[in-house]
This record gives sequence, structure tokens and C-alpha cells, in this order.
Amino acid sequence: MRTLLNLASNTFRETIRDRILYVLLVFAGVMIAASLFLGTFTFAQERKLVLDLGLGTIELFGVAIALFLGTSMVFKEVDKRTVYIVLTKPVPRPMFLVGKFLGLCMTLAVLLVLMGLAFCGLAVAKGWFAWPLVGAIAMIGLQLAVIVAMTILFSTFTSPLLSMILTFCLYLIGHNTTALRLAAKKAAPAVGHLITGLYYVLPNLSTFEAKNGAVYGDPVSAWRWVWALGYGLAYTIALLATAAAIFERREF
Amino acid sequence: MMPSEPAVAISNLTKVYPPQIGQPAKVGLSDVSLTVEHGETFGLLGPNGAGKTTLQKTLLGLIRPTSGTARVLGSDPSDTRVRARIGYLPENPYFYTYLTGQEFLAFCGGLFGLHGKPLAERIDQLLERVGMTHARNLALRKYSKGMLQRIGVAQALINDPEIVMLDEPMSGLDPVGRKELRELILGLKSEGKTIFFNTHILSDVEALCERVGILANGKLVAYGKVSELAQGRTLEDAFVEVVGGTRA
Repeated sequence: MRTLLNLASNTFRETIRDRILYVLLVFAGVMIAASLFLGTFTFAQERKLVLDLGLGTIELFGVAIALFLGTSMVFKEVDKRTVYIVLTKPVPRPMFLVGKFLGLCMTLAVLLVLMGLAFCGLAVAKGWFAWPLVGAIAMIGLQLAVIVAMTILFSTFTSPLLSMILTFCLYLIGHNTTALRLAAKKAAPAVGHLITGLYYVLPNLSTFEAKNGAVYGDPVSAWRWVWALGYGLAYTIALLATAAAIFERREF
Repeated sequence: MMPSEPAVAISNLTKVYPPQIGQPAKVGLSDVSLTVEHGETFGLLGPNGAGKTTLQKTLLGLIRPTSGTARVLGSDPSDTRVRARIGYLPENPYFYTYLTGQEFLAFCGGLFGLHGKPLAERIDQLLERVGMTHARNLALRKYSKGMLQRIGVAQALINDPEIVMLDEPMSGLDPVGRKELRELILGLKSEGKTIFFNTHILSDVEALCERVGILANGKLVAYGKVSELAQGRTLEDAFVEVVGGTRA
């Protein structure tokens, strides 16, 4: 356990000392502030627009940071040969990957808290704050954990650029899985089965979608929380187990 | 009580890298057999690309043999318990540049389960031993090649290993640094550590090793005591003759 925490805190330190993080964080802050300005152009919809833009910005920048940092993490260790230092010590390879995963999740948790505080501060100042907004941010956090696990999986066998493209494609598909289900119904039976199979295998990221309801003050039900937590955990474990199986076979 | 198995036992070890696009399969090691006894200092010599690093990586579980066996301290190197008893310095080491020397050693010690006061004391001791106390709070990205090599040696010793594997340990060191590292290896030897190192530098082998092996094109072409291999010649002459004979 101590070794795992050591690996995770080293990854946390690595990402927190990466300049790109701060560039993205500044951009996120600017975007959240800009949403306030954009809201003044609307008629009677200012609250919805500002909250929508704010939550959207938090998700977008969370995903961007996960992509930029996650996709290069394992690749960099192999490319720079720092992996020799870790894997020649009593560290099982799956633990190395889980440490990387936890470290990046820690970084993203800190960033979500920072962006969330800025956003909620703005909502409080405008008198629009409601607790479902916090719930929506927590759901973004769960989604980001799944995305980080995806980046870890891809980075065990491909380059950062390809990992980024693959993860981003899965992110887009993951928010549109209902379209797959509709396509399966319309397609020929053989193709339909294939698409149905994909529907179940690909991540259903709309499970973590709580932004729209939160803007109107609708809280996430207890059942949805349980489902999102269970699904997120199971999917993350499956991704990391696959990553570990690939990484175990690699030679350095 | 002396353990019954040698510290390193390699038997008929062969490593063939599968073919890549446009390139045929490559033989990294071919039927290599050797042993290193406990407390012995063993030097593995060979020209570039001879398979020295491949052999060491196999002993560390970074590479799996195609056939044959490699055992370290009586176990397969994939066993993490064995790796807890090994110290390793890779060739041209590259470390986490965002860490300071002290943070890096603390990280490495943590991977062996070391923590708290014992770890802090071990770090102080090793920084002193490799002459890097003054640079403990400097980020590794600001280290020179020689400084990285020294901190690399320190991390290889953080767990007080029974066997120390060093891949080209003198690379990047100036003459003073080389002399100091040679003394450090002699110190480890006097502590009864088993040392297995790869090198190009024949004078180091003569000064430090009981036995040597010479690899060429993945084959162990000579193996034995330094005096036996030299047979009245200089080790350099013997090396050139043995390796030269394997070149097309």
C-alpha cells in the first residue's frame, strides 16, 4: 500500500509540476469568467447560459488535462527509460499502472476543486447557487476517472498522439451511445448484433451526465449515484486490468 | 551459512527479438551460460551491441528469455521478492528531472518499503558516500552527467542490496569521478556484496574483477579469471584477439 501511495504521489508531483497544467487552468478560469460576460447578451436566459457554460468549461478542461497528461504518462516513462528504475525494484507492473492512475486522479481532483470553487463562488455571488451544481461537478470527476483509465490503457501500447485521438473518439462515442442503439435497430441483423455488442462494450459516459439537470436545480437521485459509482468503478477496473495484461507482456 | 545456489546462474540463455517490419529477427543472446558466486565481482565485457545490456535486463526481469534460464539469488527475476535484494544502475541513466536528488532517493527508497527516519538516515549516508550532499536539494534537471551517474549509484544502493548490477557505471564520469567510483565498488566488495557490471573499460575490470566474461554478437566467447584470459598478455590484447576473431 505504501509503495502504491509512493508511486501515486510521484505521479501527482510530476503532473503538478508540469507547466501545461497551469496554462490550461488559467484558460479554464478565463472561460468561467467569460461565461458571465456572455450571459449579459441573452434575454432572461442569463442564469442558464452562465451555469451551462461554467459546467461545460469544467468538463472540457478536465478532459483536456486528462488527455494531455494521461496519454503521455506511461509512454514517457518508457521513452525516457525511467521505467527501468521502477520496474527493477520490487514493484509489480500492475501496481505501477495503478499508481499512475491514482496520481493523475489526485491531480484532477485538486483541479476540479479549484475550478469548482471558482464556479460555485461565481454562482453564489449571482445568487444562483444550488447543491445539484456540486453534484454535477462530482459526476464530472467520476467521468474523468474513467477517461484517465482509458488514457492509461492506450498509453501502454501506443504513442501519445494516437492515445489522445483514441481516447477523444471514445469520449465522443461515450456521450452518444444511444445513437448506437438506434443504429443497431435500423441495421441488418448481423451488423445490428455487432453494433449492439459495441454498445455494451464501449463506455456509456452519459451515465455521468448531470449538468443539464443541475442547471435547473434538479438533484441526482440516490439510485443514479449508486449506478454511476458502480458503473464507473467496474469500467475503470476493466480498463486498468486490460492495461495491466498488456503491460505485463511488454519488454523494455 | 552460505546459500547453495550461486548469486547469478545463467543456463543456455537465448534471446531472439521477433522480426520487425522490414527487419529480420535479431539474436540478442545465444546460448549463454555463466555463474557468478556470492561476494564475487564479475565484469561482463564486450563491444557495443554485443548483448551485455540485454543480459543484465534479463537478470532484472525487464526482458524474458526466448529459451534457457536466468536465476538471481536462487529465484526467477520476475519474483518481486528477489528484486528487493538487487540494486541496479542502468546505462546512461535518465531520472525524474522534476525531482531533487533527495526526493528521488526518497522515492526509490519508498519503492522498497523504506520510510521515516531509517530512510532519511540512509539517504544522508548515501549522498555522503557518492559525494552529492551539496546537491541534495537541486532538481535533477540541473545535474551534470557525472552527477546523475553518482545519484544513480546512490539509488542502486538505497536498499542495501545483496547484489549490485551496474551497466557501464563509469560512463560520463571524469577521471576523478571514475577513481571515486572504483573505490566505492571496492568498498562494496569488502562489504561482501556481489557485483555484476558491464563495461568497456578494461582497466576497471583488471582492478576490480575476479572473473570476467566476454560477449560478442550475443555469444559468450570467453569466460574465466582475468589472469587465465590474459595468459601473460595485457587484458586489452586478449580482448581484441577474442572479439576480433568473431568479427566478419
